Amino acid sequence: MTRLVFWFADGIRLPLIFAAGALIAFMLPLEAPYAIRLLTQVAIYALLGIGYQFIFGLAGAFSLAQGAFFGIGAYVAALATLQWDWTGSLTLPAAILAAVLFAAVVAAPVLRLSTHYFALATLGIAQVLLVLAIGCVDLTGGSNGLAGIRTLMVAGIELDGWTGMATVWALVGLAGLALYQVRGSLLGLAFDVVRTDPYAAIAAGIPAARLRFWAFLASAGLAGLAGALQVHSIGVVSPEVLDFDIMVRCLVICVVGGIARTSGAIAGAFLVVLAPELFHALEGYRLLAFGALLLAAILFFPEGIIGTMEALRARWFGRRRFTQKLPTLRAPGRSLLATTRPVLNLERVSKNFGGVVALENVTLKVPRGEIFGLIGPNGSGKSTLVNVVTGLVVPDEGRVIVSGEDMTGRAPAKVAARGVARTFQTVHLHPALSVLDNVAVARIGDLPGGLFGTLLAIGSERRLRRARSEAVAILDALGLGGEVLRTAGSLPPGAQRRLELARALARNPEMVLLDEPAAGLSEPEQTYLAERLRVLKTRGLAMIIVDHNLGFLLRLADRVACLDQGRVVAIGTPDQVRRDPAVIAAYIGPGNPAYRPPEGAR
Amino acid sequence: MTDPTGQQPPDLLVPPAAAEPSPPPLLALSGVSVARGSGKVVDGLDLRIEAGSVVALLGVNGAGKSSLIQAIIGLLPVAAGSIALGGTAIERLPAEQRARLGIGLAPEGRRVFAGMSVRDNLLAVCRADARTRAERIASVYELFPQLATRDRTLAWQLSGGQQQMLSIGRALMNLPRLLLLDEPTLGLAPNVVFDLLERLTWIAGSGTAVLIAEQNAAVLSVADRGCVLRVGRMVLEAPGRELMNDPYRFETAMLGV
Amino acid sequence: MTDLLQLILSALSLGSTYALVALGFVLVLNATNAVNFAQGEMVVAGGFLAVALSPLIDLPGVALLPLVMLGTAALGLLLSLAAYLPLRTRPPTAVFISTIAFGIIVQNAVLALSGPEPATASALVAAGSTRLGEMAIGWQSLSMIATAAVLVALMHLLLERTQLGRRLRASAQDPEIARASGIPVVRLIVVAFALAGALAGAAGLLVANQFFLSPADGANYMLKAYIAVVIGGWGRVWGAVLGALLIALFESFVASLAGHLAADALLYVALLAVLLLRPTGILGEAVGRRA
Repeated sequence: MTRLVFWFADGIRLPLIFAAGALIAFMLPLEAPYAIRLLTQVAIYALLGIGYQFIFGLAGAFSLAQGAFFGIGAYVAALATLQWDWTGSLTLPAAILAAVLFAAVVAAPVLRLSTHYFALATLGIAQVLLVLAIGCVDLTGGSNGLAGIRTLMVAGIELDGWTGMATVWALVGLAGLALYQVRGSLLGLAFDVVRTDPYAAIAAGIPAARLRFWAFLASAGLAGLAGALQVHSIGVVSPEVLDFDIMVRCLVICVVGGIARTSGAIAGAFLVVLAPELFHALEGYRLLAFGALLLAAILFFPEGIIGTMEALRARWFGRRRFTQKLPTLRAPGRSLLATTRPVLNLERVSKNFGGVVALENVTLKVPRGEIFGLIGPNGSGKSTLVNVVTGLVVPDEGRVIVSGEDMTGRAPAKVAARGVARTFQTVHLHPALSVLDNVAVARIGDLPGGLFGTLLAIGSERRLRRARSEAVAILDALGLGGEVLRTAGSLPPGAQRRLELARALARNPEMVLLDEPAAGLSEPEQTYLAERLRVLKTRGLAMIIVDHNLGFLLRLADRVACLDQGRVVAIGTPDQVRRDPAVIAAYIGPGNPAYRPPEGAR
Repeated sequence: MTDPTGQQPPDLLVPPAAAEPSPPPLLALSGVSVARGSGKVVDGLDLRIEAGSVVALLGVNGAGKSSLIQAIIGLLPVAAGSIALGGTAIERLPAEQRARLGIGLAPEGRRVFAGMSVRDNLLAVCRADARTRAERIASVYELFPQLATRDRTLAWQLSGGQQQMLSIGRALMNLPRLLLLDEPTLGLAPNVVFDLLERLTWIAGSGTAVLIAEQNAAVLSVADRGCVLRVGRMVLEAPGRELMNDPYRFETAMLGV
Repeated sequence: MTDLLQLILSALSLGSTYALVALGFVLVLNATNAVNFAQGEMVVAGGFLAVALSPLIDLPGVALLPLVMLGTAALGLLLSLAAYLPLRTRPPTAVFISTIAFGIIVQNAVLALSGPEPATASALVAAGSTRLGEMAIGWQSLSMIATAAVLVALMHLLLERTQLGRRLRASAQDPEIARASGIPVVRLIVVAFALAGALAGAAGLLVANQFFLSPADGANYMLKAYIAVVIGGWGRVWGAVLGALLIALFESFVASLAGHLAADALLYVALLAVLLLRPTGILGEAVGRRA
């Protein structure tokens, strides 16, 4: 009996059972045609919402164009039916294609924008389409719209009433499965990281821009499909399908239902379609009640209906256990000791920021298997140097050569692909994700197979399993093998630093740049970290370490360079650098040369 | 037990302090730890500052100076320990209330209200009636005459040194009992630095306690006490002059090598 | 020539309402970094409050102004308490949605109380028009521009010359340091919402006579304010006012040449162009905001 309860409580079953129960509860007392009409509407909105989960839920981008894609699908399906007499087997693909193509065209400029601007730009696009739909009277029928669009017909079969409803729900099922599949895959992990912390995404080598692009297209495609189904279902199309109101409903579906979840979209769709019906008795106040409900939901149920249900389930039945068996060890391999040429070669690199010298004529070589320390006071150019090496900053002069290839001016992603990984000064991990998955996600590499591989891999994804097993091997080497199932946020600081290092190593780099790896670590933690870094060194990994903790760094590094005002003022073994008067002067000497003449405006 | 000589033994049971209770120090930190992200950046720190004294908090980047300053004013939460201002525990109060209890802050990077004029920067934070506000501005201008001539200039148009003066002036507008300065000399020319340090002694002379977080050893010349922080812990505490005259000891404490 | 002047006059009267809405919008944006989607509904609420009050009080519309502004200021206060403050630590999208929800409530409350028909309120000062040469100048247009100008000037005085204004600006520029300087930042956020409500309410009163106002108009005003803020430079108070005037001029001129729909469409196209080419707005960089 308990086992039965647990089976029901596991995974998405509970939401599904909830949905089925709600379905039946509403069907029973209603007249059949009315119930069918309502449930078809629910399914159409669920489809729209599942689409929105891709861009808003997975990618975390606040798009206000989802309603516009819905409208595009609706108008394309309507026009194709009326003008060319196409049937559903053509109008549905055409609607999807039109929405996706439109999304692809606007994506390039729009997806670059940050939150507020992205929201406004997508809203602007939606408004232009709305105005066009009203204005192009000859094509769209203007404000009156177009009527007489016939019901869905696929392969000669008329799909209306029961069959129509079943068809739409089947499509909901397919779309939901796709979302579920992506969420549970390596790609889903990557989306999770992109949404939570962009720096963690950079550190893990996740191609965030490409993921957002795909999510945008997927959401557009599903919205287009939903729009087409809507006109086939109600037989008319008018500018209302492009109204901001659709967008608001879509937001409500995802936020009140539950973000990023299929079940959330379905629950939200029930709410959006049925709540106004439920409030029927309120008559004029029904939308008012709807607004109040929305406000209450966002205030009191931040995780939405499904999130709240899951929290309740966790309280009643305990947390869901990690069911996957721990993967076997399997280290990713690349022999790092094969050649002797330096991994990094900086030749006379200079960089100015608006007249302020950040780097001046810096020349450095870092061979394989060397730990290279970089020290210097505040603003001496250390961060700029790290950014130049990783491609975030393009030097004004000089060359950056990585493993023999000139990478000067190449994009950060290209430099990363050449084998350069980094960590940031502050910890950038996904705190709610397991230690294992924080590392596994960095195995995403260049996404071979990509989206379709993920969609077609029914069940647990092979790439994710492989990535996890490789992650276990790396974590083991850094002494985190016993912690793989904990959440990253629950680790002590020292372990978090090592976890970041593990994530960097998961990308199979030839060189790692570590920015303040010892910051906030206790003495024993520092010692442990240093020990692990020495082991990595023996495997041929080159490391550049920036740290203010000179005790830690000077004990660990093979060679050290001290930067001051963008120049290398000392370079050599730790002992040589420690005694160099230029180094002491740079840090604390009286008449401290680190002080520049007053800058002008900021 | 009575001494055969009839003399009282030295009173070991009652410490002399109890006989004449000394007032609590203006600022007393005991066992203060500050966490940032996931690590402790200040670890179990004790510090006392008397009214009218200048204390320099020295350390290289990342030693925890700035975090400590922010924890005192309330911009960072205190993970453990207590902070008392004039005997009142303040570590649980929000920043604005701590400011109202008499703490002024000249933050790292100056953080003047860039789009506002010099005068408005000073006025905005002042909690006094109009006439007193004018008097306070006049005394800030007296302290920093360079600001007086730029009364209507927008703060972002000031030079770095002038912005620093404005930042300090702003912190003085409510006549604080404790002035916190975070890296006030960063980016300033040496002569401006000496000028600024001289003003700080004037401020302290009026009874305000001054706590300066610095990398620049030059502040030791005006500090009654220098405290060296390394990796969140106090590794050396001595009179400012003493540290200046013993650079080896000071450097070792700063760099830890 | 007279046509041109006539056009400019109507553009300015439209622009003056946009300016008031945008001014409130940017005040909240600066204080909270949140986009207030309910700002348009505040206009509607103010307009319908004016419509409801004008038969009760037999005075020109200007006399109603304080009452209407007080009413919508209270609404703004409510907005901040119900839809912003509880969500301060949540991601910005939560505030987007909560203000949308609040807007839905206001819009439908207006709808339920006064019905869906567009309505008008009594004239601000006087109805009719005067002649200047060959040009007919509507008293309403003139008084709209004048009222808005007075309100903008008062806002200017408030922001520049009072302690409240200085504190509002200081907390907008650097809330953390404002707090550490003893400024009660949270209370000022509530004040910003109330001011925004008052300004939007005033705009509602202004349009309620000249144009018909219907409960569904809110979104339009919100969008125009949003665009004005982007064009004027994100976060710049006077940039938003200028942006609003520019939008109104653009709208009026294009509408006179190609019709209202084309004006609307082109405005959005222009907005997209601005966003893509100059994301900091066409009136320059936002000064004094930290990255």
